[in-house]
Amino acid sequence: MTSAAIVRLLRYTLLILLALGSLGVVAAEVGIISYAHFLYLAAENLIAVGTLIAFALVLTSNREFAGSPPVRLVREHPLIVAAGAGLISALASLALLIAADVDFFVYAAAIAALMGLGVGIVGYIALTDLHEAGQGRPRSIRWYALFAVLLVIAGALRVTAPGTPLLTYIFAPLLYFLLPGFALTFALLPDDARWLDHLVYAPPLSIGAQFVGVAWLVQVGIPIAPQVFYITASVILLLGYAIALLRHRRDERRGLSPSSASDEQ
Amino acid sequence: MIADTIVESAPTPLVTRRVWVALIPIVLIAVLLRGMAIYQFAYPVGPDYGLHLLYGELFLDSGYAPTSAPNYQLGVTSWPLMPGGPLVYALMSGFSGTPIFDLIHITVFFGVIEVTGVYLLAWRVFKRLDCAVIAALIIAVLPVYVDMMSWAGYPNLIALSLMPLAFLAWLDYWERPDWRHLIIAAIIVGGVAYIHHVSTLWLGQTLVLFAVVEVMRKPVASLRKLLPIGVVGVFLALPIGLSAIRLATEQGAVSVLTGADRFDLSRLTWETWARVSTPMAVLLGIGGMVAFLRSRLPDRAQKTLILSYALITLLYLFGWAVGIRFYYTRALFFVTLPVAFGAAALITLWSSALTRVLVSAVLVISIGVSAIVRAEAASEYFEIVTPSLVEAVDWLEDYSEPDDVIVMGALLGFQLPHLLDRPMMAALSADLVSNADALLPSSEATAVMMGLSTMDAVLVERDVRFVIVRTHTPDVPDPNRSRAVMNAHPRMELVFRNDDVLIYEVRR
Repeated sequence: MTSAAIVRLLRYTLLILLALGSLGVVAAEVGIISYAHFLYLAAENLIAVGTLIAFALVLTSNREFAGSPPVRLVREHPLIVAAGAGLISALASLALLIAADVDFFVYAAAIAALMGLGVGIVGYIALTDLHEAGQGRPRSIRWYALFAVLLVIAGALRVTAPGTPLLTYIFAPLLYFLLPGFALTFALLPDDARWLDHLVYAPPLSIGAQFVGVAWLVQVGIPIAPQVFYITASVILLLGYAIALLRHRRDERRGLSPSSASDEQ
Repeated sequence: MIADTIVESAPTPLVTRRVWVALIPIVLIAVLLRGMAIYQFAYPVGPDYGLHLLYGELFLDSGYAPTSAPNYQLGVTSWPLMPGGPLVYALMSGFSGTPIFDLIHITVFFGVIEVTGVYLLAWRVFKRLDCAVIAALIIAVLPVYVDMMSWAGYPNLIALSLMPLAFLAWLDYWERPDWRHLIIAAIIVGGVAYIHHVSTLWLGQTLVLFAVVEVMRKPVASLRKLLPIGVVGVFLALPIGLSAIRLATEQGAVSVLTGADRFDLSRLTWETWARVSTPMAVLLGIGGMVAFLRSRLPDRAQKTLILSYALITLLYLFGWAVGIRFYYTRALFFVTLPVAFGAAALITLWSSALTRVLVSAVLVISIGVSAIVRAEAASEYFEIVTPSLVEAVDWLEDYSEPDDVIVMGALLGFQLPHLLDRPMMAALSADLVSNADALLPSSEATAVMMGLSTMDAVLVERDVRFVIVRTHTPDVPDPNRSRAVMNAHPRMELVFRNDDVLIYEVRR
């Protein structure tokens, strides 16, 4: 048996073990069989054997994902195949949830439907070998004016209408999770950062920066209060603006900024 | 359609700018799964959030970090936690003016942060969209988070959700060590270190191990990166570091990690592994991680970081073998990132795209359905605060005095201090005790709840007035035994009962 044939055999075996093992485990999870049933115990062992086979497969296979030619159906209709995979996944999940007789069925069914959608999306990406476009554009410093306006509105609402839904569900989360973070991402991330990069980095930067501020206040003995939180957020916005402004002016001097390019035109 | 651009020449793949479309359903899965413990019940389920949010409330009320919980364990215990977790809610309460206990719903937003963070980290590491999306999808459906939401370990969950972003920022800095990436990394890592002491331990040890390996590999280049971030990190996050050191000193962290003997029952078993992280996580965690390490897609620094994290997790999972004393099952909550990355690496073993789709479907369905079923069961199991409990609390407010001592089981003990302003003693088992201060009142409360030989002495010495017992499991100790003890004790009189609790008054 050639090494390629061995690797192929290991791959198919792992696939079968993975499928059978999952089937047995999920059957027990939803109550079709008990955890003491032979099939569940067998499933656990199949997964354990699958782990060893995966180990062996990784060590023997020195070829990364190579991408064999897709079958005609996949080549010509990837969306239909992916949608089919997603639909089947959703229906299978729903069937399992019905077998489990869950109390919150509508809620659980919504999650199952989303899982099917997720599988469909992964399927489409895999079948079309979809890739992500890489680059974004520099962010204008005019965004900081919007951040400042939102901060002022939030502050005004805090004074005039504390605890209202508009503040609790819109402005306060914006102020805590996003605005200080965007102020920093626009200043610190590379110019080619995408909107997705800004969205992902903003919350941890927002939370981290506010924690650093509050931690220093606690350390030096300044009592914390809602006004202090607003001041901290404002300081972070100002610092972000200052850095972004310095970068913008430096880029203008070098002729790198979009505004200097448009001025020249 | 997601794909909106087709590049002209044949071998060039489809590209998209709308990857955020793919993330929407995944983010919604994370929100709904984690949110079941909040949205489907009258009050958020779980015992732990009672004390965490009480800390945040006291912080806001006084303006300073509280040193002890006024009612919990008769006020003799210090708070054994980093302030960041409760401060998340305190900050939101400060911004919005909404009471802190009405803001628990923001916890599920951290599922959004984690899914998108794992996506971006996986994208950086694998540079393949399918691997990045499958990693995000696995993170969204893993039952670990459902488990944490059911017992309301919110600070743990928040710290875990930010950990991938801390690693992402660290790797970005390592790849491009300029001042901008340095500040980003210092802020994010410092912020994550402020949230929960266990996560701080994990994060710190992972980065230290990474640093050691990199210094051994390229001493000069690595030190030129480590020294600046060390200096800036210390400057920015000095109070956070001092907070961690103070906590470790007060709690005797070193002696606990090396000498505590109360964690033996928490050793990892297959049953615990299967319940919290599913049997499939073995294959993904081990086979997948090996695939990850053998893969040519991640670079060496990325492999070093993820492997460091996995090794630290392994160390604490099986720490008893090397003399480390730790609540071992807690290390299970840190297997999520290796499992997600293992899944992403594992699917690259199959060259056929259709097979990869099939494997993805099998993983998502089996893990996701497990998570949904467990979410419901675990949430119902840990439903502590209910309308009936609130009714009992109202009764106690009316029929007790401010100084009346009340004894209860562990799970009620975590919630009642913020519901009722009375001195309380909670019967914690040794493995649930987070700091040494709580050992004495816990053991005394346990003596009362279990009817041990010292029960009468405790009732007299502590001047206990009421004992609250749940009508059903779970609680610590077993409420059925506590009920039998109270019913048999000559000084106990049943004065209140409803669906959830029995209240016994100690006759003078």
